[in-house]
Amino acid sequence: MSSLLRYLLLSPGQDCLILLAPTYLGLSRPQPRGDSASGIFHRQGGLLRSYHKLSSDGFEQRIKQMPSPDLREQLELIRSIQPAVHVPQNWNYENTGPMYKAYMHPPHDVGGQFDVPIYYEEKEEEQWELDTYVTCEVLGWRGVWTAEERRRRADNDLGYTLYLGMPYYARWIWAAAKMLVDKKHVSLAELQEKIAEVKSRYEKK
Amino acid sequence: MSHTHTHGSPGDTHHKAAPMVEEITDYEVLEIAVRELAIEHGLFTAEDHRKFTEWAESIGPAAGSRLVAKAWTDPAYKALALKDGLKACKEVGVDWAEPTGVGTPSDYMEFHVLEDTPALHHVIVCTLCSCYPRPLLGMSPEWYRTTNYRRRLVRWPRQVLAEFGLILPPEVEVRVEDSNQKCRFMVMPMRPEGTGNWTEEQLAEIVTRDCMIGVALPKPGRTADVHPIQKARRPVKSSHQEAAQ
Amino acid sequence: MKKSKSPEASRAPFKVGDKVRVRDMPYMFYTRSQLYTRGAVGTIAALTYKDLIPEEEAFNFDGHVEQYYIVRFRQKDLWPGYPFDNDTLQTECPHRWLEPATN
Repeated sequence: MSSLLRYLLLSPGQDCLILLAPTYLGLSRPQPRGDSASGIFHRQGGLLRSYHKLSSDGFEQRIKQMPSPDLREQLELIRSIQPAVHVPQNWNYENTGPMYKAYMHPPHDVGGQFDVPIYYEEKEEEQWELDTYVTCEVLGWRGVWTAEERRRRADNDLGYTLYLGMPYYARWIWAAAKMLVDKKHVSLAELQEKIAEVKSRYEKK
Repeated sequence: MSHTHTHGSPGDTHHKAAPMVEEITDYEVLEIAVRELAIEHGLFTAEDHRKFTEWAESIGPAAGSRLVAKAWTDPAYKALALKDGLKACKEVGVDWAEPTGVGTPSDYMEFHVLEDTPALHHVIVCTLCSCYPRPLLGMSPEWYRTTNYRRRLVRWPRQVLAEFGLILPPEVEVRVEDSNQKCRFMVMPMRPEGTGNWTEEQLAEIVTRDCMIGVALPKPGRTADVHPIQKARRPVKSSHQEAAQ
Repeated sequence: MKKSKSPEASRAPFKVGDKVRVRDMPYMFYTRSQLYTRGAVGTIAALTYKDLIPEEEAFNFDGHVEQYYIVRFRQKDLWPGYPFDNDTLQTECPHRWLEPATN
């Protein structure tokens, strides 16, 4: 089965395909990044606006010096138009052997899958990301969970859509929140109320 | 662009977006909520969080560079580094047991140094997540965590290395180390030509983080790993934080 | 921690240099044994430590402790058409995922 078809069939909901397809098709960098403010993709007039987010001076200079950066953008935009056969998944009556195995496959096991060259970039760490890392590790330090439980939850339990769509550390904090509820340290209702209360601290009065 | 919808309590009749005083993301809100609930329920203390943060801000690749430079100049230390990685780390000031006394939950205490030779070059990945020898090298670079790197390095290592600017002759054995369990690894690259009378400090300067992952080779004059940098919206409020080495 | 009832890996431990094959066991929910190694034959490069297996530790089960090994594969044995003869790959496997390879 072609890798493309495998990816299409792995998206259990119609909407998932839209999000998964660009990731699989491996648009060359810069890819649309989740907007960390709201967690949704925003495309400000094109996939490639994040070129202008690159603030490493040397790199930006080199991009400007390249012959016709507009041509580069145009090439990549054209390349990003990809026909796809959309096969919505809707509780199929049966899955054949390979398809069953594909659905059972833990999402984090990606070694050997096809992907295309991208710019390998650094990322300055957000304060919330450092806090997330520490919160997760301290929960491990104090015996609330182990790192293996974190990896299992953050890399597998949330499913392909969230695994490929959410920012790296967003999966960590999602896993921590889920664990607290699963282990009955905190009820979901309590968690939701706390989230609302924290948000309200930052609202304009 | 950055506002989020507040979901009002059952009494509200309106449901409209409330502008934020300062930009705060949903992830920040979730992290604060989780941390405060954990503290309220006695799962850990604020002091625990502060102490671990202090450790997290203290780590970086400099100790790894010192380890390699020392191994290049001291054959007995090199032998120790290859036999007992944890002990070798202690001698450059890194105790893998910190800050808990029994190691960090994610990094464990099983550290091994992989020695490059003229016939063998190592490069490291964790295809399943992004396991990395944090106590010795600090936080992993963003690219190391991407599904892209994790998919491709194990199957097309020479292509990926070429994208980093590293091309090796076909006779050299390129060995990919997929650190998928509790062992953590670091590459000890070969000492380059033209550094014969260098001090340890001079040598450490050219052993960058990328050299210790295996995607670059140390070279006189090459003292930084250059990659595009995605800036943070609200970066860590600490003097230690560095995006690249 | 809950006590696991999974069968003990009762085979004798492997030694450095032994040829082993990665078992293609059924799996779901979680594993740290990569799909790309299944069925491949490699050699034991090192014994590392004894610990819980991920399938149990990740679910907070107090299962049996097993020997872990670094297994070395030729890239040519992992990927069809891999063009460089000398390249290798190493990864770490718990005992239950390995069986002796006779060829």
